[in-house]
Amino acid sequence: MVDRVQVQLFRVGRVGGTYNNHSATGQQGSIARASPGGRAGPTLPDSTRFRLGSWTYRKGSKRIAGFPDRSVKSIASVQIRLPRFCVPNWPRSYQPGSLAAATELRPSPADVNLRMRRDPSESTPYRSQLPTTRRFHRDVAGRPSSITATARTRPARLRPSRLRWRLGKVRVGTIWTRSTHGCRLSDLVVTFFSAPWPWYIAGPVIGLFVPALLIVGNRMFGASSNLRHICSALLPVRVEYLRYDWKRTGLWNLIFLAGTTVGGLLASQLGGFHSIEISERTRLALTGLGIHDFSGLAPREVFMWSALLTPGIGSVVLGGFLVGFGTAYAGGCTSGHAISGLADLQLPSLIAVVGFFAGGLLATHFVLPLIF
Amino acid sequence: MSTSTAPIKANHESRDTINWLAYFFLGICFGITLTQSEVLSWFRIQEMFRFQSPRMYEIIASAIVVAAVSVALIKRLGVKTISGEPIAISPKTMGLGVRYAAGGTIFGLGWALVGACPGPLFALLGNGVSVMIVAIGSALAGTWLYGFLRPRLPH
Repeated sequence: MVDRVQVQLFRVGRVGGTYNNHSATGQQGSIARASPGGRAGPTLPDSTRFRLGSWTYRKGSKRIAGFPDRSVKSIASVQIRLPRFCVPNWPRSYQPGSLAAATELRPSPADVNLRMRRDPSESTPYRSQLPTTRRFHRDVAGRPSSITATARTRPARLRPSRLRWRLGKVRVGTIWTRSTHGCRLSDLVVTFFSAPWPWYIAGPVIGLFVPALLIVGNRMFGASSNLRHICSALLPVRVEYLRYDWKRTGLWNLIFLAGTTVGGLLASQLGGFHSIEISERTRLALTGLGIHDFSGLAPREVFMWSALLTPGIGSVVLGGFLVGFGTAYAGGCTSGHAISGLADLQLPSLIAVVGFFAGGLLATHFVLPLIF
Repeated sequence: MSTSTAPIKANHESRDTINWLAYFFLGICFGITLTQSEVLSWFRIQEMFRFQSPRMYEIIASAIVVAAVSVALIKRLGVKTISGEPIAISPKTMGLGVRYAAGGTIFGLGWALVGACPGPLFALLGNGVSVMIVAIGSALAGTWLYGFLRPRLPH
C-alpha cells in the first residue's frame, strides 16, 4: 500500500568536463558519516545552486516514471533554492577531489523536512508518515553533489509540494515541485521563475517597457538619469547640471527604479536558484583570468565585500564610476540609448551604442586582464 | 507632473498616486525581467563582449525591434497616454556628437568591468549582491563629477 517517493537534487555545473547531472538511481555514493568537528554550522557545497534532476516513483521494485498524483501525470523538475544568507559559511577553499567538505556533511533528521500536500479528497491523515530518509551524495570529484530525500506516500493521494531543507533552525532551501501537466498556480509561478527565459521572451518583454512607459505617462524608458536625480537630491552644491527640480522630472523614474530593485528581490526569492550557464569558451577564458566560482550572477571572487580592495576595486569601484560618468556624459545607457533611442531611430543613440561596444571590448580584452 | 492642468486638485492627486503605482509595478516587472533574462549577469556581459554566445545580441536586438515597432505604431496611430495626453518623444540633440562617442565609450568600459548598467545595478542589489551598493555609490560619484566638469567638456 505504501510506496516510496524519491527526490534527488543535483548540483548544476560542470565538474571534470562533464555535466554533473546524475540519473536519479545512479551515483548512490555513500556519504561519510563521520563528522570530526561536529555540526559546525552550515557546511554545504560551494555552489549555491541546485537543480533536481528527476523524480523517481517506486512501487515495489518496479520503477515508474512520473508522479503518483491523479492530476499530475509527471513532474518535470524540482528545484532547491538556497538563500544567500547561508553562503558565507560555506566552504569556499574547497579543492575538487578533496573529501574534507563531504565528510562535514552530516544530515540530521531536522535537516530535510518533506512536506506533503494532501489531496483534498483524501481524509486520512498522513502526518505520521512525514519523516523521511535523507542522503547526501558525492559526485565523481568527491564534492557533495546532491541530496536524496525519501518519503513514504500513497499513490494518487499525496504529492510533495515543498521540501524544506533546514540546517538547525535555519531554512536553507526549499524544493518546489514543478509539474508539466499540473495547472496549479504555484506550479505556474515556479515554472515562470525557476528557469531563465529564452531570448525570444526576454528581449520582447524588455522592449515592451518602452511603449508601456510612453502610454502610462509619456515617459522615455531609461535608467541612467536616475543617477542624476539621486545626485541632484543628495548633493546639488556648486554644480549647475544638478540644479533642477528632480522631483518633477525624475520622481517617476526613481519609483520605477525602486520597483526594479524590489523586482530583483522578488525574482531571487520566488525563483529556483539557477546558475548562469555560459558558453564553454567564455568559461575557459574567465578561468584563465582566475575566476573559478561560476555559481552566482556575478563572480563571487570579485563581487564580494571581502574582495573589494584587491580585485574588486577595479571592477566594482572603477567600473561603477565609469558607468556613472559615461552615462551622464552620453546622456543615456543601454536602456536609454540602445533600446529607447534606437527604437526611435535616433542617430545620437547609434553613435552612443557604437561607443558602448567599443568601450566594452576595450575593457574586456585589455583592462580586465590587468585587474584580475 | 504631467497632470498639472487638471482642474480639481483631489482628482489630480489620486491620478498621481495611480501613476506612481503603475511606475512601481512596471519597475517590479523590469527587475524580474532583468533577473529572469540574466542580462544583469556579469558572466552574460562577458560572453557578449567575447562574442561567444548570441544570447545577449538576440535579447537586445529583439528588444529594439519590439520597441521600435511599438514606437512607430504609437506615432502612426496617434496613441495617447492613459490620461489622454498626446505622446511626444523629444529627439536627442546632436551637437558635436562628441558626448555620445566619448561618453558611450566611457560607459562601455564601465559596463564590461562592473557587468551591469544602471538598471541592473539596482536589480542586482535586489538579488542580494550587496556589494553593488559600492558600485552604485561610485556611479553617483561619476555622475556628480560629470556635472562638475560639464562646462569644460566638449559636447
